[in-house]
Amino acid sequence: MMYLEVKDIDFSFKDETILKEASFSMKKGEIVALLGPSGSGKSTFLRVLTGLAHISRGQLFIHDEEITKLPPEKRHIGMVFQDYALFPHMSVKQNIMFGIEHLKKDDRYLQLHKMLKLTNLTDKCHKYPHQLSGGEAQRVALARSLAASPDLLLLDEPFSNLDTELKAGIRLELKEILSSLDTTCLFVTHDIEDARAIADSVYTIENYKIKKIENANM
Amino acid sequence: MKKLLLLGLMTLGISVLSACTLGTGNDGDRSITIYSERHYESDQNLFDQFEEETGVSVNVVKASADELITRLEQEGSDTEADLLLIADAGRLGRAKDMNLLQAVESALLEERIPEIYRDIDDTWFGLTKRARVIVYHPDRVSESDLSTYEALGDPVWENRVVIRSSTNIYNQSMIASMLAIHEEAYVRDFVSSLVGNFARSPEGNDRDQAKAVMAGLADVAILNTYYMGKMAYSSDPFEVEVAEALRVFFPNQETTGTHVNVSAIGLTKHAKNVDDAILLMEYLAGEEAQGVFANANYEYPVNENVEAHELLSSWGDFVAQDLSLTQLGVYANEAAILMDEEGWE
Amino acid sequence: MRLRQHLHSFSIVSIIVFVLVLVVFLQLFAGFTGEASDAWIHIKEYLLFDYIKNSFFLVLFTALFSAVFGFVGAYLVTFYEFPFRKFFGWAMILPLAVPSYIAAYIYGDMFSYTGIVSRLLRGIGIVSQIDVMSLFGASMIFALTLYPYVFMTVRSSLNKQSNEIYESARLLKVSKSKIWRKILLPLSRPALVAGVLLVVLETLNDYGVVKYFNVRVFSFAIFDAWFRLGDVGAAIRLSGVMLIFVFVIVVIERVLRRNKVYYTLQGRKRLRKALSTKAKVFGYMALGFPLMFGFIIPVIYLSYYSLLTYSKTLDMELLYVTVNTLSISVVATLITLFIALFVANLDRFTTSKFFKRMINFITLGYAIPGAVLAVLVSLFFIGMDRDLVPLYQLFGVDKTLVLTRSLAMLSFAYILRFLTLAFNNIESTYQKIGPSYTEASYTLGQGKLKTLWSVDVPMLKDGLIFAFVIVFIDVVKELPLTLILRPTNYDTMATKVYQYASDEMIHEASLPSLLLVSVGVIMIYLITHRKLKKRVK
Repeated sequence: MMYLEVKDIDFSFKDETILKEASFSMKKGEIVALLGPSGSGKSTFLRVLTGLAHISRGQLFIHDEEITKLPPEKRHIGMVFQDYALFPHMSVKQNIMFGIEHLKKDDRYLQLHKMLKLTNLTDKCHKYPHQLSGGEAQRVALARSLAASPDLLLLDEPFSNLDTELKAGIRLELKEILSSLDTTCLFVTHDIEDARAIADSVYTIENYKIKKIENANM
Repeated sequence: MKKLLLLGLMTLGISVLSACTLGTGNDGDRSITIYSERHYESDQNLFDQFEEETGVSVNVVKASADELITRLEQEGSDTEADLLLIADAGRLGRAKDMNLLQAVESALLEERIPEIYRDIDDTWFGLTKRARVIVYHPDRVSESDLSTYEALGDPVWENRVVIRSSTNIYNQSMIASMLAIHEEAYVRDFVSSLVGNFARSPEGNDRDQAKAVMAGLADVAILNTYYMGKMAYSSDPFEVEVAEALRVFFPNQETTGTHVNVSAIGLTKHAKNVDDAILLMEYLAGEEAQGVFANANYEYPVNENVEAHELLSSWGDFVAQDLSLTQLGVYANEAAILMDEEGWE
Repeated sequence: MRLRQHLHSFSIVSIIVFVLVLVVFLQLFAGFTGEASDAWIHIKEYLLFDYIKNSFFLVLFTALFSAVFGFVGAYLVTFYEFPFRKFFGWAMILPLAVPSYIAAYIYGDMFSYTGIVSRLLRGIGIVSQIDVMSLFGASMIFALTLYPYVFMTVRSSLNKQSNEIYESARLLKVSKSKIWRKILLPLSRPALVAGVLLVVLETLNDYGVVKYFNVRVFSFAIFDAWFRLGDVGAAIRLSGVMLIFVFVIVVIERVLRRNKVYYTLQGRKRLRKALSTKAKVFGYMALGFPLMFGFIIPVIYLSYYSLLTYSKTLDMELLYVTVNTLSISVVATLITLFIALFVANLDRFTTSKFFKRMINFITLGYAIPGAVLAVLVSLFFIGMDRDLVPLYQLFGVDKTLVLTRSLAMLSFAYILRFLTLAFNNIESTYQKIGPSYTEASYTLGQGKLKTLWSVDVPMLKDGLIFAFVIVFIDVVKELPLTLILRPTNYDTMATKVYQYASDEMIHEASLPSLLLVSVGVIMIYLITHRKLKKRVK
């Protein structure tokens, strides 16, 4: 079995069928883009993977372990939401450390500093979300999810809230971060350029199934 | 962790709360509990004096009569109450029918309280009396115009009579007393003609009826004597004005007598401290306590050896209905239904 | 299988609550199966129609008046600028601190023959008296003390509507009246209806006002049948009829509210229009009238008579009563909030139709009038106590009625009654926040309870405080439930006031009343000014 294995799932949202007998898989460390216009159900597929939405049929596996029935908090699948969802009452530091409270104090701080360095946020660690720019907020959200060392990282339209001029730089940054941690990542976007820039392969949802449409061309 | 703590605190809190009622037991020393409708400071003074003389402390639970009766019923044998003290013989009749009271044999009580003001089965004993009288304004009505309750049903009184709602127990008992004396058709006739003479649809309490007469809305009102007392001694100077302007008339002097009702005390069926409770009953009926007890609410003492408040005396003596008040309980339901049927709101 | 993922703290708590509400409801049927008593037959024939008729008209007039007071006030305060606008913005809520029954005692006294209004009128030669103790008078009193519910819901809704809607309409040269009819009123309708429903339910719940004014409505009838006639069966049957009546109203409200519109606030700060002098006069009158009669005059009356009678009423007992009231209100409110939080969380994330229906059912609790709830809860507890007697004896307790007539029973009733109020407030706050923060926390591996505590609660803080205050004030003011269910010799400020009034000692009731009102005023001041502080930041 592949690292991530989605087997024959049926999924509807608000009485509308999104996926039917769909299957999908990813290798460890792979970066995949899921392409499609806004509102075509791609984001809801992410929710299925995290466990925030339920499938009516089928199975999900990570690392050969079935996670179909597990609630989100038990899945080790991280997600960066479209609006980042940074906890406004917590500082950058507290946000990032939120998912690693079970670690010993030393390990926690080690991980914190690693993430801060990786996302270039060391000098911002005491700031609060409302004091950050859009790009900074995204980096915090990323750092927060990555800090917990997820088996799989999902990104929901990571570039839609950013100015175009910043986009190019951020795409590069993101790819570097993901590569350096060997993170398996699936992200959703409506922009094919964004997809091509970062992903190893690009998929889309067609006829209720998930189909690959191209491999990455560097 | 924090959550469990919170949960724990809550369950602790709830158990403490519910424990509150578990804890209300009697003290080791002699004490009795009385469920009383009355809220007078002078009562407390009497109870304190009683405790001094007998060593029995009195625990008073205050609420409205209906509430007290319902509680007694719900509590059953669990009740803490030894005594029930409420106004209106009709209500006491109800309490008796509901098996909430028990009979008391006491020579002292028989001596101190006239027979008609005691339950025929000795389950309750009247302590204070009040009369339901006609109150009028001397400028618009002269004494000679008035005679009986029944006469108020005559056409000449159209739109000139006010009285409170039929749901009030005092009216219910008054009608019940008439049913005990007269035929049902007679009483029905009276009620329907009286209702026809109402100046307004019943509203407000007894004092509001007096005020309505004062305001010219009506010329006569029917209410209890003690309200005139309360107004005469009210801290509100305007109520005093009302009391001083209006006059009291005792109806039915030539016929059946003015309707009289009592506040009475009874021993509860599941009383824990029977002997001490009876002591209190006898004390309250005795000459020492009767004056203070009755005066607190401007009522007539039931003990014939004790003089009434000077205001009451100033209205003169009157002939009361010669009716055993037990009858008020017997005819209570019939009275209520009759009043509803004849449209008395 | 699927079941496991559905059983967590949120659903477990909700299920327990549901079961309890259901069992309490079932007492209703236990009463119906008994034989119809004579008293009931009597009521049915002579009185029932009047009860229905009077309740209907009372509700109708109250709804109309409160809608006008609340809507006009909210509209003026949202769209226009004028001196003291900010003051009115929070002061218009103050009448909520005055329980309707206290207002009834006050106006009943003021308009009585010896009351100040009649005396003033006589002073200028008018002899006839104005009679407030009627159905109409009662609805006016309810409207004056309850319109703040409408004011708050409509204002919150109007605030959410952006200026741009109205500006574009005006650019399209749409007439003012058309804007009102086609845009403003329809958009505000859900909020208006929701606010009026709250007012109507509170009105039907009341016992103090209708008893004092002798207005024959259902709550009056239930008390009457139960206590005066001693007929619990009749009381239950009346409760059943009343619940049908209430159910119809709630259904009407849900139908009227069916177009739930969500609008987002466009970034710009609202530009308010100035008022012409003529309009200013109208505006001040429209705002001043309800505020004056709903709050200012009652407070002046209470203060005056408190000074006159405090020597008689300021005693240790009043202190005990105040402490009793505050302590049980705090505990009951906290527990209610706690449970509401759990149920709201179940509601947020569940897709299960069963759970949704279950939650719907639980939230009907608010509609059950206090008198009815009292009947059902006491029957439930008495039954439960009787069943638990063997357990009690095991602990050496000889009594049967351990839970009945305890503060636990009273708290239980409060919680059932006010759960919906807390739930609605929390639910709407959650809607404002949105699900992503909670979901983010789950994806970071934090469990449901930890998320609730670390993420949700801090973010909900304002909403929670508001919910606390609203429920707290209601619990403190509560009368019918408390009168019936309280432990022996236990008084709250509300029952103390009622007792004085029943003894026809209205003036002496002033000091406890003033204390009661003060509690509400303090709470209202705290939340409205806390909000203002935050906005400035």
